[in-house]
Amino acid sequence: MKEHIFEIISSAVRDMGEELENETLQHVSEETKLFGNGGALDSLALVSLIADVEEKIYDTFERAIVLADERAMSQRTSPFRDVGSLCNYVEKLLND
Amino acid sequence: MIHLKNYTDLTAQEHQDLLNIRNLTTIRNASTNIEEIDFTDHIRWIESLKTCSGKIYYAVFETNTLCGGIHLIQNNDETATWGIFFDPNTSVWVIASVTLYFIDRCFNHLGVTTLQSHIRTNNIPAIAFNRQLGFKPFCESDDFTLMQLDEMLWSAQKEKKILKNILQYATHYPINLESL
Repeated sequence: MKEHIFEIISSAVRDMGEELENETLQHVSEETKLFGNGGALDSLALVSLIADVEEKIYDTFERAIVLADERAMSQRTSPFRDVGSLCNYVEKLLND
Repeated sequence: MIHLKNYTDLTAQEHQDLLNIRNLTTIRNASTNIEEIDFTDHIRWIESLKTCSGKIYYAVFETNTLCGGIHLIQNNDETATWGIFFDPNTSVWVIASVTLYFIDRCFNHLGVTTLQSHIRTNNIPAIAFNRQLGFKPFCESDDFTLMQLDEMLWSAQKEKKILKNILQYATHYPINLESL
């Protein structure tokens, strides 16, 4: 499951990198920083990415998850800081 | 649930909550007026808004918690200036959806054809945020950068992936506008 999630997120991040003309986002790893300190996305780009990932997760797993809810926002360590933390967060929501 | 409430309809406690956010150092330093605003002066200004048709100020609530403000000031029949501020803990989702909803409303319901932003030149994130929305700088000084967005450019910008995704997503979470 984790590999599928990583592929979905990577694909969404690469699409966003193309849109933003950001070379860093074209070469995605778990360490790729997304939002916050050193992150490549601003708030609008992050929300757009979240919408994209939710849709792709639904298409693949037939499960609707909400990434930008209060739980995510209130976590001390943001699940949106890098690709690895977002993968873990999606996996956790799918297992709930 | 997100809702917008006209400043003139806020309760005393809500005015205090609004000022508490507006007077945060990070927000004051990004504002045109960097001074702290006290409650009495704020209420006096609210009274003046009640007879002023060219200024619209909304407080933003997320699940009944006041988290920021958004405004529009008509400069003339076609041009207006807008601005926003949010509690730093506000979710990016709320900021994005309220911003897009408000700008779209300015062009499609309030008769604005050109929208301007007055941003402190050292406020790099705000300038980047406005650029992402399609605003272009048209006048820069050491203190302020003036940016603007016209109706046609906004329509084109909405077709780009970033804004299109957000607008599509936002249809699941309608924003409640309490009053004009």
